[in-house]
Amino acid sequence: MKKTSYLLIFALITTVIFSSCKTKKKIVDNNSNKIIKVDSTPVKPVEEIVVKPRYDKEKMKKELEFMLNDKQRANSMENKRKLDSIAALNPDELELKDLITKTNNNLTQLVNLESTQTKLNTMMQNIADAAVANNIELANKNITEVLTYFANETTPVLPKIGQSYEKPTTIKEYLHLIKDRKIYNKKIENMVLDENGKIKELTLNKK
Amino acid sequence: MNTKIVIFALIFSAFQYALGQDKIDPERKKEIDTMALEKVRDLSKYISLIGNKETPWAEANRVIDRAVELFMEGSTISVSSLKRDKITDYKVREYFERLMRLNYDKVTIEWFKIEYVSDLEQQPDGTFVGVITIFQRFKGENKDGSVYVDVTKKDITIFVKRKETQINGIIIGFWDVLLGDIRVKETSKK
Repeated sequence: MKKTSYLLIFALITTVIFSSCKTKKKIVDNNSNKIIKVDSTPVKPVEEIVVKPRYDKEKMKKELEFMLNDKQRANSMENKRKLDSIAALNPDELELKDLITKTNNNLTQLVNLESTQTKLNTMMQNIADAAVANNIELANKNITEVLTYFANETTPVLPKIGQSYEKPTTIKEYLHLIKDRKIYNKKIENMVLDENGKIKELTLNKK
Repeated sequence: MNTKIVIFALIFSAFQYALGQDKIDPERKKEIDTMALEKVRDLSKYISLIGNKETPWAEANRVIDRAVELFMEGSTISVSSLKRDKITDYKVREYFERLMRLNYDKVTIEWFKIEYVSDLEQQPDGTFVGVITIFQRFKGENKDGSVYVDVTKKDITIFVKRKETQINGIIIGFWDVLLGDIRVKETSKK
């Protein structure tokens, strides 16, 4: 009986050991049977990375030069917006930086001119209004104030009607004419400034 | 004969064409007409200011200078009165100085119905000449209550010449409007 038991236990152990070896062999056999596919297609060379420039130098230069030479006050706000977008690109070239500075100065002057023009038109209307009210003292005071914008009392004024020039006069005489007429029926067509920012020539046209 | 007629017609057409070339653009003509009317209106304002006893003496003298500049050299201004049959001509400056010294306590002068009676026409030398008519209401009042009123119709001869001047180094062509004689046409009570 004892012998039989020992034999049974021995057989059981042997069976367990044997079956585990078989499993290992199977795993080994499975791995050894795998087919490794080799890609025979040629390897592509690494593509050349082309860095696109931030801006077109020549195009930017042309745009800046155009804006620099554009004396039309009506375009100054639009040109200021364009200039701001160009400046935001922060070009490296000294020539472009210089053009940006010059254009900015030019546009700032044009915008200031626009503002001065509006102010002067209002002040000249005030002279006429004071004269209508028979307030000669106030009209003369307004005249003195307007004259401070000009290089001197004899600054030429070119009045126009449409395309035709009337006889040129001086700013002092013209302002007194507004007072005498009691009407200011013109608008500023053009102003030329001197190096001190004073008006050295004024062109007026019928409203 | 037919050939002669054709040649004559061609020459005549060429002549008309050449004349037409010097004719001013209608838009420019309108602008000149406006300039001339504006000068006459300026004169009416000056006369009102000079005659007004409330205008300060310095202002009145300044205005006299401006008014004289409106006229061609040698021009005269006619003056009439219901009190006299005679019409008197004064040199321009003399007229304004007399106007400033009129013996009334209050003077009111008003011009109205300012219009062209004869359109500006171009002369052979390029000058435009025309006539503008105006009606003037004159009222002189005194503290004693006496009042003089008359309405006068006057004709003003207008000359417009093309001139040039230099402004800041640039030649500018402009139209110079000058007034000529002012003549009385008729005077009435109102």
